[in-house]
Amino acid sequence: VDRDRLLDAYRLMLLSRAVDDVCDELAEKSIAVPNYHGARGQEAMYAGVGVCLTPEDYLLYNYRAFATLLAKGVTLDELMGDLLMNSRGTSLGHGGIMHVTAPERGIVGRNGVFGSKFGIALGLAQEIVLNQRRAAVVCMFGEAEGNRGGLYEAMNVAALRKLPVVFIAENNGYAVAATTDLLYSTGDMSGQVAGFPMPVVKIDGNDVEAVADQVAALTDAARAGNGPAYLECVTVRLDPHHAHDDQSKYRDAGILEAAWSQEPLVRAHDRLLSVGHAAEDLVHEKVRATELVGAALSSVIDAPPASIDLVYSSTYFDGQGAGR
Amino acid sequence: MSRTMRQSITDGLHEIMTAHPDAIMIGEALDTRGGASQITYGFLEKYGARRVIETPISENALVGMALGAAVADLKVVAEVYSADFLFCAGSEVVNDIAKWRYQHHWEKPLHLVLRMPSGSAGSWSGPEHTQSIEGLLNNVPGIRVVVPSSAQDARRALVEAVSIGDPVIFLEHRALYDAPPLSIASELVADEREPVLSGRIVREGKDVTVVAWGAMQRAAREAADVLEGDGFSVEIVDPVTVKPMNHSLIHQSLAKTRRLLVVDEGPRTGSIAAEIVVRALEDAPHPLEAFKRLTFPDVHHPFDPRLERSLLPSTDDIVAAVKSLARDH
Repeated sequence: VDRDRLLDAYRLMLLSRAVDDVCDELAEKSIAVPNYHGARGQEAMYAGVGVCLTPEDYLLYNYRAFATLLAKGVTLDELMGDLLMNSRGTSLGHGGIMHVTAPERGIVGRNGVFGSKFGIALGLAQEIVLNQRRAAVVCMFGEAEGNRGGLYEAMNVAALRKLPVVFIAENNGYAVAATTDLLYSTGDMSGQVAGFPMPVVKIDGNDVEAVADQVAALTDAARAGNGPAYLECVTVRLDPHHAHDDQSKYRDAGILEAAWSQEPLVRAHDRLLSVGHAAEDLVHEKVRATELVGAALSSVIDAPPASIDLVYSSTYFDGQGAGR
Repeated sequence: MSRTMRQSITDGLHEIMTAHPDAIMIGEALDTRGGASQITYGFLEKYGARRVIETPISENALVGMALGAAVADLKVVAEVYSADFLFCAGSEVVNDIAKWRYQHHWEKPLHLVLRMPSGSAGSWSGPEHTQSIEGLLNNVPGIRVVVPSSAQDARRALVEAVSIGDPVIFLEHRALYDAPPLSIASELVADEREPVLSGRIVREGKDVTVVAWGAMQRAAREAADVLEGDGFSVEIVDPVTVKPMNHSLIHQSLAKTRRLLVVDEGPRTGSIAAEIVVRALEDAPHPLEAFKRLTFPDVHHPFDPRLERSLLPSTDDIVAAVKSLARDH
């Protein structure tokens, strides 16, 4: 990862963190941010993936992946509109952050129920194969979703057909409140799929360079026709699962404190200094990210809510058939 | 020489694959055994493995792949091995495919047909290989459910379904695959310029309107012929698309007859027949004078075809029901 790409990734991480900060501020003001799940602690993974994606690639994202979505071309205004679930979001307030949609940028949407994105990834990959495009499908999921059987069906089919799919497992230690070792017979995510005939790699997902290096290699191989791969990124979720989750019930405060001291933004910052970026420039980057996210919030916060007319007219393609 | 429904579906698939270079087929054993119904022999060789995609018995992967390819702007005809197995991918169908347009504000067409054998052929197939699933799907906004009743309609309906822009569950009735064509002199000839998916009045009559689809449509047409000999004039509606139902077509017929019989192979409770009757009661411009449903009871299909036959609505049942509904002669 060169200096510039590392800085690109750091900028994405800062934007993601700034998004979390404004969501917290909104919550304090009792402004609804429906289905918001904080990304703190996982930014290196999301940014590391993001800087490897091309406009031709498909992204099946996970709902905390603010940095990946931004890297793929979702604007901050759209992202904040989706978090506020109003008419400035990509689905005009009908899908919100769980269903960010920008098909022309390779984001076809997201399944709201865990498990079906794996099959969807296969179909996107078949389009790449049919049209002989040089592109990959990046399919991101956490421990909860990774226990749905569709993953294993899809990995088998992807391997059989050598489809350009990179499965990215986000192991943040918890499926909501249950630890990964309670849910995976091998104690981790990649151990369970080690028998598939594809590269199965496990890395420190809080090391943005490691993530970017691995994702670059695996997506390049997929684009070149070498078939699928599986990457487990081990990370730490610093936030509660979502706003209504009291993580003190299942997590020791000491563990969290240690994790904060090693959190990915600190690590990326130190790395940037070591490769010659000036500290004051990095301060400026942080200020800039906060400004950009604040401006996006201001531009969309008073937008109208979702329209009831669209509830009816978006059921069928011809706008009819739903009845009133 | 006339084609069977099985052959007509093969014809329709060739028509789709030839007309649309961006059309793909997905299914189990498409090449090795012609798919579930020996319909797709030779397609792999003719159109290649990039367009004819065989999957293992992995419905989450298969149906999910169909959705993924459709949101990638391909035209997708995927085969599920049996309607009963669609529920292996229930979340994909109900939570993803049906809702994709709405919750993503998806403005483009979704060209996605899931075709599958459905219904009872009375062949020792039992409760999990004979179900009529259209009633179950009727409660899911966003999908279309198509049940053709003749060979010619099946081909045209399939070709239309892949272009209509919404996900279509295309139910191929097992009992109709090889059924010889009915030739009934008094029936109306379908207007090829009208979309078959909108449904049509198959036969004009004045005493009773009979609505039926799939294999029950065939039984209704046979019954109408018998009833004509007994002096009863039956108007038959074949909706073809059972969801969303073209209620106005039915109400147009009821304006003339005011008497309604719905024949539905599915279980009685929450059936499509129930919805047709209620909508006629609520919305038809003229009050109904009489109505009745013939359905499967709320039980499972027995394996033994002798038992199963006794539970399925029959031609005789339809004849008797129409006579009970008709005004005194």
